[in-house]
Formats: sequence, structure tokens, C-alpha cells
Amino acid sequence: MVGLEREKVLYEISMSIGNSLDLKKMTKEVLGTLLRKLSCTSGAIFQSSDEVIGVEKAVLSIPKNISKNKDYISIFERYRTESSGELDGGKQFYLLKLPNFGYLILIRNEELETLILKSLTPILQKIANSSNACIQNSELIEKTEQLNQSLVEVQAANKAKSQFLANMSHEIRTPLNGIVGFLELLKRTEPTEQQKRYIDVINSSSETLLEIINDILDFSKIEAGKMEVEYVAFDFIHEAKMVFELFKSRAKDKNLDFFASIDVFMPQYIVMDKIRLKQIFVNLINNAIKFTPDGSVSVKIEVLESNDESVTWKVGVTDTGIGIPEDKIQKILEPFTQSNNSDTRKFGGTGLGLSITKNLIELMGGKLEISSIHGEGSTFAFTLTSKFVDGSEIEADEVRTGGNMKFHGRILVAEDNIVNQLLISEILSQMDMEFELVGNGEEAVEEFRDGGFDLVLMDHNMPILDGAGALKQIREYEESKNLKRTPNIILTANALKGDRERFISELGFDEYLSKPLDRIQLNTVFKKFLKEK
Amino acid sequence: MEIEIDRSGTVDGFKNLVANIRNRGAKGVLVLSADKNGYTSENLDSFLQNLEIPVFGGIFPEIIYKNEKLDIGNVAVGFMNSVPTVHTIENISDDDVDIAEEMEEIEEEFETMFVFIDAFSTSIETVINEIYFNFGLESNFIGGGAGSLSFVQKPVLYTNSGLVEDGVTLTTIEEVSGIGVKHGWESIDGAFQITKANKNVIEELDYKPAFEVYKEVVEKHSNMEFREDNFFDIAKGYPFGISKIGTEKIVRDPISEEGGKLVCVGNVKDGDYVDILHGEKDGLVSAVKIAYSEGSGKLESDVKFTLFIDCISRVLYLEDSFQEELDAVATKDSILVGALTLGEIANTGSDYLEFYNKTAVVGVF
Repeated sequence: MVGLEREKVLYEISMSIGNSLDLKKMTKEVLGTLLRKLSCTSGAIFQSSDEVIGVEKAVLSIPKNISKNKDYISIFERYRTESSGELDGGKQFYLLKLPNFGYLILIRNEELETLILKSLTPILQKIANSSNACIQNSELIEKTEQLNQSLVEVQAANKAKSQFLANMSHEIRTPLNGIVGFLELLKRTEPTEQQKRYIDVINSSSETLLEIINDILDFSKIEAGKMEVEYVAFDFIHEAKMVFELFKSRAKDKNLDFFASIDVFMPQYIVMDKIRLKQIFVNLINNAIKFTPDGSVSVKIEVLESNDESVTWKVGVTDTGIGIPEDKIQKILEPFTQSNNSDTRKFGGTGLGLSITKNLIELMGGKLEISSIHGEGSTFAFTLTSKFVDGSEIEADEVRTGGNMKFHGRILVAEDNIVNQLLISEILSQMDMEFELVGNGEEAVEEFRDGGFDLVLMDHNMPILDGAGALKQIREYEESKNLKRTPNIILTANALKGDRERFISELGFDEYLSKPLDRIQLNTVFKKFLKEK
Repeated sequence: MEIEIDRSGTVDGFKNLVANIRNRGAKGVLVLSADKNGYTSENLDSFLQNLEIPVFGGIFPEIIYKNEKLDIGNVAVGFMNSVPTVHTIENISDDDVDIAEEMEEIEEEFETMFVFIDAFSTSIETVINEIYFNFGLESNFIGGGAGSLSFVQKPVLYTNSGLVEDGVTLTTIEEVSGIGVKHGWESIDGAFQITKANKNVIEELDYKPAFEVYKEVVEKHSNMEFREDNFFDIAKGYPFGISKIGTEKIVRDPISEEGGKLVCVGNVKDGDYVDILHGEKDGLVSAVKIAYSEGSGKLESDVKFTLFIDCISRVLYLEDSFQEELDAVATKDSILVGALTLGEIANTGSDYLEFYNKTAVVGVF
């Protein structure tokens, strides 16, 4: 063979090396090209660190199945002593070393020129290097996959933890519903001064417990990515002043000075999530008062920028409290963390408030900034941009519903929990409502069939038949009798976002009330579905 | 094996031909049909689907019967001793079809495999490689590209499911065969490196537009000038040859020129070196004689039947002299049938299975 022809073929073989980092794919292209260009009848690549070769060490062979191939059986018997030789039928085999990887076997009908064999040396080195790169790459891919799998597992465990917290909070809220409700009723029974003090203590403890549970529920929602903000127009100045009034008295109780200022250019009505914004204010000011043994707490709201539609404003809450060591500033934003474990014992709290606050600010498009000098005090600040509106645009949603409203109508109440039954009974009695009480969904359906109800209050989790099942049967009954649809209101302690939509859109309830039962909410619902007296 | 011919090329002619073979006790049938018959799926699918014996083969530009080439009609080969096993892979140009996995289902032990493929599929090389990866060279392979000289893709492969487009049929039989492959084209210039290619299109040679390089060499050698309407008239005598060590070059036929790029039958690869080939008529005919003697030399018994797979472009180039090729293969002792194909598939038992162009493949049984 002429030199140029040989060089062309060797060049083409070398061009087939290393075009993939997948070992099978790479060796398939290389071995295919080698056999084709060198007119071989068969070939195989073996990965062998111990210089032993056999079928089980073949990375790739052409043809695919060589376990019963008599040529290979013969080579496996002879390779320790021969690196080339004749096979049955006059074929030739060549055992070529792939340095630091293994071996290449070529089988050909005729002998290969010595010059070609020698020219293959750099090519063999390239094949070996490339094969090793493929193996390292696959190990890297495997490790990455393992890491990804671990990450998935960690995320799943975290999700399970959040779910557990949410479930647990839900379970605690149900009995708490009874406690808070009955405390309210107890206050109206003309207790003695001593009893009043006890009631106040129980009330305060319950409120604290409720705050913790609400924090955990909020945190679970944030962790699950389910926290959403709801933008409505409201009187910001009024709400801010209400919060300041509340904390002014708390600060006074601790002998702290409390200063609050609102920029005169701050619009009165803005569009924001009122409840969540209030929660941010309450958390930050509450923290400032909690961690300030003496001195002052001041809140400053200033306008940074405004145009015809929106305003960018900054809130700074500054205290002269215990401060935070520099290396702990970022850490206190993590859930369940306070700057010092002893703080937890001293000041109480779950360590969730700041983490929730940070997330809520971020959800609204802002960022929480902290500056602090340990032992001297801290400033927690955030900047938000919000649309503002004219006061006339704030309409009925600000009208309060409640007081001593009275309604016509007969109510069917389905509730299995005895405490809740008593609570609802008390509230409905105080409202002079006529009602029937049943303990599960089946009884609710039976009672409903007897007729005469203008509205149904239905618990969801009940024995025998749950609220959704009972509603289904009630609707079927109404349809079969051509009756007017009676409003069915679901009462549930499930207070996660999306529950309301699920109960109304998917399950067909007319309204949704979350526990602990709130008389104002009940008034709103009654006002919607019943006639006022 | 039993042979039947239908010279009518009609749908009824096809049905009668196959029915006759089946009635004579054939356990399977290979049918080679001429494109001019104008068969469509509507004509034949129902008949093929109801056929009780395995069927394979296809529609080719022309067919061969004894020392005659026919541009209309059908030839059928009936397998009397054993049942051929036909495996069809459809939609081979579709990247989602795993050709290697489809081949896993085929038994590895057989004597001869017939490979008929839609010549206008874009995955011919992948199919050929996978056949080699799976079965090696222990068995013989013979076949070619089915299709029309109009270069319009259509259903051209016979199967028991009907006519198939963009597919391949792999049929294994237990009949011993001898295969000879030869083309006789010689290098006139080269080597040129393919510096840009896309599947079956050579875009650049030595970093210049492929046609520019090709034109210069061919016009000088042929004393003819390329015009807008005569590309293939000249190019049919000047194919490309891809180098291999220890064997003839693999021929790649340029069939058209599009914006300086040369469209070939069969894949080409970036980085490969090609020569420009030319063939003298005597050399081409004597190559066929060598192919026949190579094939028959590998058969221990007398030749009873010869399957001749020859490239249609050899017919177009040799014109009247093509008869000499047929005469070289047709002997009075055995029956000759064959197809003039768009690309040939074979291995000689000694080197890599290839998809050839402008090559004569002789299979003797």
C-alpha cells in the first residue's frame, strides 16, 4: 500500500476517536471505522486493568455476540503468549494494547502490513485516553445523579416535615377553637374580678399559642411555595396608625419610648396585601420591643419616589436593644433561629417570625435589610413599591359586618366535635337563630330530608359520612324533588390557601368558613344568604 | 428454488405470478418488480396482507431475467426447502426508531440474509452498520436499494403487511450462498478530503465548493463541459471512491449538483478522503466476471441459481455494452434473476458490510 493511502486511512481512523463521551457510542464509532478502513472481519475492545481478557471484559465487539465465536475462544486461550497469529481458515488475529485501559483485538482475512501495525501505536494511545475520559465522565454523571437523587430525597423529607407541621397545627387549632370561643362566652357570664384575671391569663396564653400556630402554618405555606399575596386597596394610614397605637401601649408597659412617623407625601390609600403588610409591621415592631430592655423603638415611613400611579416607600424600625452580632445577622433570617439560643429561653418565640417576614417582603417585591451593632441596637428596613388610589375607590369591602344583626331562617348544623357543637350552639343562640344540631353527615342528610332548613353549616371531617358526601346527597335529593338549592356552608379547620377554592369550585359548597369560628364571618355569610330581621 | 416470470407488469400479472409460485409449494417468495409496472399500495396491499407465505423483495428501476433486462414485469423466486424469516423495520429515517433494538429480535444463526432497503431513506448507513454490529460476517448478506429513477420516494418494499416506504426488510434463509463484489472503477485523480458533508451530500472538497473541484477534474478528463442540463450524463462516468485498506474503493455516485454541493447515493463522512474514479467499459465488464467467479468459487456445490444485484447507473453508463455484463453472469447451467438497483448491499465474507454504488454484486446458490 502506498504511503499516502495509508496516511489517509489512519487519519480517518483517528478522526473517529473521541467524538462522544459515552463509552459505548465512542467505541462503536472507533471500532466500526477501524474494521471498515482496515478491512477486518471482526474486532473487539476489552477493558482490563489486570491484563486478563475474556467475553465478560468486552466493552464492545463486532459482531455483538462473541461468546460462542470460535475465533475468540481460540484467542482467549492464546493471548498470554501470542500477540498475533493465525486462526482457523487462515484468518489472522492481532492483540493490541490500549495503554492503561485494556486491549483491542482485530481479526482479518489477510495479514496487516507491519508499517500499518506500527502506525497504529499513537491511535491506540488515543483510543485508550478517550475511553478513560468516557469512564471518568460516566462516573461524574453517576455522582451528579446520586447528588441530584439526594437532593430530591432531602427536598421530599423537608416537604414531609412541612406537611407534618401543617397537620399538627391543624390538629391544635381545632381544640383551640373551643378554648378561644368559650373564653369569649365566659367573659359574658359576669365573672368575679379574680375569675376575670384568670380569664385574661388564659386568653393571653391562647392568643400566644394561636400566634405560634399561625406562624407555623405560614412557614409551611412558604416552604411549600404556596404562600400568595392578595392585593386590595385599603386605607394604609389608618391601618398603620392602628398598629402604632397598639404598640405604643405595649412599649409603655416596658417603659420604652415609642416614636412613629409617616411621611406627609405617603398616599392614604394604597394597593397591597393588607393582612400580610400588617403582619410584617407587627412582626418587626414586636421584635424590636421584645429585644429592647430599655431605650426606644421608632418606626419611620418615608416616601422615596412617586409618580402618577405608584409610590416607592421605605419602612425602618429602629431600636436601642440588644443588637445582633455581625456574624449572626444572616443566620437570624433562617427559620427556627434566634441570634443566641439563650435568647429563646429569655425572650420566647419560635424563631419563625423574621423568616416569614423576610419571605413576605420578598413576595411583595421588596427586600429586608438589617443593620445592627451588638449591644447598641438594630434597624430592620424594607422598601416596597405600590400603586395608590383615590379614597372614593374604596368601597363596600371596608364596611364592617357584625354587631347585633339578626336574621330570619332555620339552620341545620352538622358538627361531630362536642366542643365545637357547644360553641356554635352558643353563638347561634345569642343570635336568636333557630337551629338543629346533628353529629355526622348521614344524620345531616336525614334531618335535611325532613325539610324546613334555610341554610346548612356543615363540618367537613365527620364520621360515617363527611361534609362533601353529605352535600352530594343533599343536592341529589333537592334535584329529585325539584327543590330550590339550599345554601350549604362548609366549616373547616383546613385553613391553607386553595382550600376555599377547592370546597366551593370543586366540591360545590356555597360558602366557606374557617375555624375558629368568627362571629363577624358568620354574620357576613348570613347576610349573604338570609333575610335580616 | 423455483423461478417464475411475469412479463405483463400488471396487477393481475403480479397476483398470478405469486399465486403460481405458492401453488407449486413455495414456503416463501422473493419478488423483484420493475418500477414501470406502476404498483401502488392500493393495488397490492390487500393481496399481500392475505398471502399465507412470507413475501419480500421490492420495486426497482429495472429487473433481470436470464440474460435479459426488463423495464416492465416481475420475477419471483420461490423457496421450496425452508421458510424464509422476514423482519421488517419501518420508518428507519425517524430518529425515534431504535434500529439496533429492532434487530435484537432476529435470530443470529442463519446462512444468508437478503437486505432490501428504501434507497431514499436517510438512515441507510445506520442500518448497514447495525447489521454488521449484530451479525458480523459469519453469514452472507446480499441486497440493494429499491426505488424509482424518478428519485421520488414511495412505498417500494414487499412485505406481508403491504408495500412499505422508508423501511428495510431483513430476510434470513438457511440456504448456503457465495457472494462476489466488484466494480472495476479506477482512480483518475485524488485524494481530495471531504471537508464538509451532510449525510449523503458532499458540500466541500479541500475547503472549496465540491462541484468546483469535481468539475475541474472531470471536464479536463472527459473533454466535456458541464451545463445546466447535463450533470448526470457526464457524472455517471465519474463517481467518487472512498479509500479502504486492502480492497477496492467504495464507490459513491454523484447524482445531482445543487448550489455547488454534490448529492450522492449513500452517506459520506466529514474528514474522509475520496478519489475521482472513471471506468473503461472493458474493465467494468471484466469486474462482473471476477465477481461471479469469486462468488461461485466460495460455493462448494454447483451453482443452481444466481441473484445478480447490479447498479442501474452502470446500465446508464454502459448503455448497449451492459448486455456484455449480463452475458458474463448468465450461464446455461443455472438460472439468473436480479435487479438493477439504487445502491447495492453485500459482504464478500472478508470485509465490512457496505452500501455500494455502481457496483456489481453476484450471489450464487
